Amino acid sequence: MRIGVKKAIVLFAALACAVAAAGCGPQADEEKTSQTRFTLDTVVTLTAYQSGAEDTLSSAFARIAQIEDEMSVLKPDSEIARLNAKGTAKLTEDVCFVLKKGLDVAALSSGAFDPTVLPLIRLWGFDDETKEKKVPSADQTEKARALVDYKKVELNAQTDTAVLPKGMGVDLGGIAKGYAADEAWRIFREAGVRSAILDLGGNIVAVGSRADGKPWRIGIRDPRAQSDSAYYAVLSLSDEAVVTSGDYERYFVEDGVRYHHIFDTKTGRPAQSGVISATIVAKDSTMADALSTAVFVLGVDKGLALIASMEDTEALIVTDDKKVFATSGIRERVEMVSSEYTMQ
Amino acid sequence: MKKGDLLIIVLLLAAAALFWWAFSPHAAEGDVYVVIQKDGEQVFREPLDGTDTKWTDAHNRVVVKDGRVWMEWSDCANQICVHSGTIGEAGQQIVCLPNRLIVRLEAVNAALDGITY
Repeated sequence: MRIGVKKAIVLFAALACAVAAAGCGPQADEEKTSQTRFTLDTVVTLTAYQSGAEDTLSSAFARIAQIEDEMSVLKPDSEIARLNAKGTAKLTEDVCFVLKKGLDVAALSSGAFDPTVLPLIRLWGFDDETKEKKVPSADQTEKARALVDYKKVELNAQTDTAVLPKGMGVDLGGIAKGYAADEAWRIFREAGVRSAILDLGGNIVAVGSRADGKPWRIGIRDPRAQSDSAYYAVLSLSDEAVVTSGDYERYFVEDGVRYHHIFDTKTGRPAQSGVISATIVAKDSTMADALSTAVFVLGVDKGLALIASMEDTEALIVTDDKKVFATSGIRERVEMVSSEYTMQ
Repeated sequence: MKKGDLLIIVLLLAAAALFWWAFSPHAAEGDVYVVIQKDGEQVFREPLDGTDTKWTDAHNRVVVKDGRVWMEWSDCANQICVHSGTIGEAGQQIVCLPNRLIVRLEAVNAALDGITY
């Protein structure tokens, strides 16, 4: 090695300056704009890692509120409530778009995700938190199941009009949150926000990357831990949406059996595919939302096959024996943090 | 070995030490704060540093003890918050939806940026 002493000193000084600038810059005294609101029947927190993003947050929350007004089954004035009451309705562009995507995923998954699941949700009492929930009779279950069929929805894209056979009902609960996340994401992107976390009740969009340029670290809830805040793995994500469906979120127990809110439309009962948690990572939160339900219902083999056939879409599935299955594109970005779960 | 070579080695070691210092987490970045928000407004913010305390209003009571935080009591109908366990790491939260209350653990450069569920 033959570098002159003077050169070495200059090099060292330059290095020291670079380190001082990089290491003790913004991330040590990070600025952020964050707001939490109770909407979409859950808690929504939008955080931009920059100062002065208040207007962007307000626009995104306004858009989320608009989507909720259009798509909530519970709000009697919503587009969806009118469609369900009358059997036909002219839909807004938003509702038409989301219903179309829902029907697309239904076709892709052979009905494992089905936006016409409402009769089952109602029968089992999952449409209203205050309803007393009990297992319905086989006869009731069969009647409601017969009313669930995405193929019978007539959606006219030219006139934005939908028609449903009598007794059927659309529930966009399994996809509307994903769409709201996509729209908030678009608003952040258009405002030039490069670093943000959008958390819509556990549907997360990791916008850009961390302020220090590293990927975001998002935990996946441990489906069997006592604590709601425990997580079994951490995902490294950049500019991606992540959605998880689990049997722990809404359920009731009768005679020692857990009945959760994700239905198998082929049996009319809560899905029993062996999956207890299904996580989808994608560039499209609307798709990820619907696909997480589809994969939960399909089970490991069919679920992994479906996701592997789709671009920019990855899956992480937990089975009831605490085994974890992942598609190849996400495997390297998963850090297992709970020894109870084993990656296959 | 010449004197100059020795100097270069010393300088390189010094540079390495500087890098290590600059890129290792500083104490201030690791500090975890307990933040309580009611209706989106912050009503409590204290470091989770071993000081035991309680926060209470007419509808909820939050306990901070031995570095863990939990909802001890709530007058809400579903009691989900009371049954949601304890939290102790930045990025975790407890939500009482009916009372519009959130208890959240925050830190600058936290190990976790969110939890999907």
